[in-house]
Amino acid sequence: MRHHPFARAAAAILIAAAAPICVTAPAAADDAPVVLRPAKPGMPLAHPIATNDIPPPPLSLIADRPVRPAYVPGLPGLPQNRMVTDDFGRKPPKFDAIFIRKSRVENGVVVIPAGGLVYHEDTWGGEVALRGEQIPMLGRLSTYVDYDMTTVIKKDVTIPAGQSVVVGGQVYQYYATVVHNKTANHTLHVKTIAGTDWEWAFGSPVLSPTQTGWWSGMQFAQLYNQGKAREVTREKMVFDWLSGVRMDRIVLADEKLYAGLAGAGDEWKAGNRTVKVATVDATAGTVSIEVIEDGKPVLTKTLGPVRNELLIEDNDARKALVFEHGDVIGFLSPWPEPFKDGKANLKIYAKAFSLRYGDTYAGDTRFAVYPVGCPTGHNFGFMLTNKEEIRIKPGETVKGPEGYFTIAVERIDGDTVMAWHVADRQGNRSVNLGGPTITNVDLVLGQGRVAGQAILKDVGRQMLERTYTNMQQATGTAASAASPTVRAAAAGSFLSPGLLAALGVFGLGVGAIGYEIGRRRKSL
Amino acid sequence: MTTIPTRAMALSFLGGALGYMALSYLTFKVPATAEEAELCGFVDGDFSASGQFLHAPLDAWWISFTRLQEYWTTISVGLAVAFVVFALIVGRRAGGRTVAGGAIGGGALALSALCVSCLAPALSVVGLGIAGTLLAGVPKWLITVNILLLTGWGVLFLSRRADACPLPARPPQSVTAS
Repeated sequence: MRHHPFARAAAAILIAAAAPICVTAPAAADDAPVVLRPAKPGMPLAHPIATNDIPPPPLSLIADRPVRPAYVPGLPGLPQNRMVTDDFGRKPPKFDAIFIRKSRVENGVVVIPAGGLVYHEDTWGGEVALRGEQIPMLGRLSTYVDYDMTTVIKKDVTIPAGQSVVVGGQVYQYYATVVHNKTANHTLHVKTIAGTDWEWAFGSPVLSPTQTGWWSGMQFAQLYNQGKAREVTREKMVFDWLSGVRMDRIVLADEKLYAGLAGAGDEWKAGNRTVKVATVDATAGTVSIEVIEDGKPVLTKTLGPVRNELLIEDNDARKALVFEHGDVIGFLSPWPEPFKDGKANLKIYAKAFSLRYGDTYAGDTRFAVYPVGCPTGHNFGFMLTNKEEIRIKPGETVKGPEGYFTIAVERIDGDTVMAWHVADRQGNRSVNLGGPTITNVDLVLGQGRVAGQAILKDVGRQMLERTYTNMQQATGTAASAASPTVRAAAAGSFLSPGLLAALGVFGLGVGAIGYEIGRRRKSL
Repeated sequence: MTTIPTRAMALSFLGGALGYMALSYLTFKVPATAEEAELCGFVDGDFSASGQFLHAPLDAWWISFTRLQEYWTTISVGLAVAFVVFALIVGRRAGGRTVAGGAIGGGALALSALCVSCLAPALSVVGLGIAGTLLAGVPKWLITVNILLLTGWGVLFLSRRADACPLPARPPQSVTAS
């Protein structure tokens, strides 16, 4: 008997879905050479290879997505599609997003595990360094200046069908097997720890040891998200190595000290520090900067020359233009031109701060921060996740980072959350997100790249079903289609006097008709 | 053998059924309270959380009509009316008293069907709701089947009686040549 190839593939995925995820690094696999490929021969790798392992935020796997979550498109204090600016007239849209995942009711209390509550600064396009792009920081705007990105490599990685693993800031999921005759191809989905789906940018890598004419074999490259598989079956993918970019740090600043052409001797004050242009050598394409603190030089750095062919993703080429000391940071701007009339095109900022992957968020130590990196070297917002488990009793609230939003639980009946809502800092509340069928406070709020698009592939169906069910209950029409418990149907009690009489009439009627028919036959 | 006036009976059936539907629609009132609504087949889900009735009048009547299985009553009334018309047509030959009994029986059947319809609350005003109470435990489809059997028997019976007592042929009309 022949089976439909899609049915066989689906069965394989279902069977394998129950298997545990295995990420190990045995000695044998360490021998496999890691060959990261640049965009073209001779081009250096843009990002350094990571030398440390930083755990990703909890609940980053696909299996940890919100379950039957409530959906809230936004609130006045959690703006959507908010246009910001950069120094060159670009207006990228920004979105506030909140996710709650793996929440549950336990002994009459709502429990959100560590990492379950997420604020995500969600952006539609990549956030680009050195261009003065503004990034929303919980209601205020900061300027994105620079970043540190590394490429994380993991060896001997196994991904069971349907499951996922995290490498750096990327999540790889073995998504599907498609069989054709005795051959098959196997699809890998690549997302970020926040859920940003790179399919829109790069498609999905397809691996196949048997369809050699159609795909690129057992290796793939999505910029610096790369991998080499040694075994791909319906049940699992086994990689010699997998790489994924990780945004280790983004640097933002709240004060612009200067932007424009500067000559030797120009200086700017930032608290007890002075930033001074020591020399400008337009011919060599360099400018020397000094940072003086309490009268003593604490940093001297020559910026340039500009290597336009590698900007702005290449780490060395970009860092050659940037100086940084404490909360002062600046750079030699390559655009529109680095030098003019013997002066250097400088941008200098104060009140700079860093968001480091996995660090405690300085603005609210209950949260950890994770910048979200794109393999291009762009940034895709940042996540703030709760470090400790959150417990909310009925009538209590919990505040998001810096009080930017509030989660309030009003009523719990047994295991059911009858009433809860999310509110912004100004007190604008969502509708009641609870109801008779709600057993958690899982949530998707926002309309950005993740909340409004990528995550829908994983939880959209559940979200729509939940939304409609709650609408039915709110309008009191839940039972209209199936209910008709109507008087006529309900009235018929078994063998009532009326029913007995009707059955008697039925018998008489049948007899009478039989009699009439019999008489007619006789008379013929 | 007496020919059964099928065309007249079919038209009578149609007239009775449509007439009943029209009467049902004209006497239907959009319920103002949940208690009133329950009488005509509505449930809590037909009201919003604020107690507002959710359906337009025509929709409400149709919902009530179908939920109360009024289509059975419609068929019953149509059958009864068709039988009354049949009885009146064959009356001359079947004998006056028999016909009168048949017609009254058909009318009674129609009324019994009406008594368990959604018109019952209105009929109870004139005392006919009592029959409705008696028949309340009887499924409407069974009432319809019974009416079909009784009217069917009535048609067979009256047509046999008409055959047994044939009327003399009409005298030929005089023809005058001009």
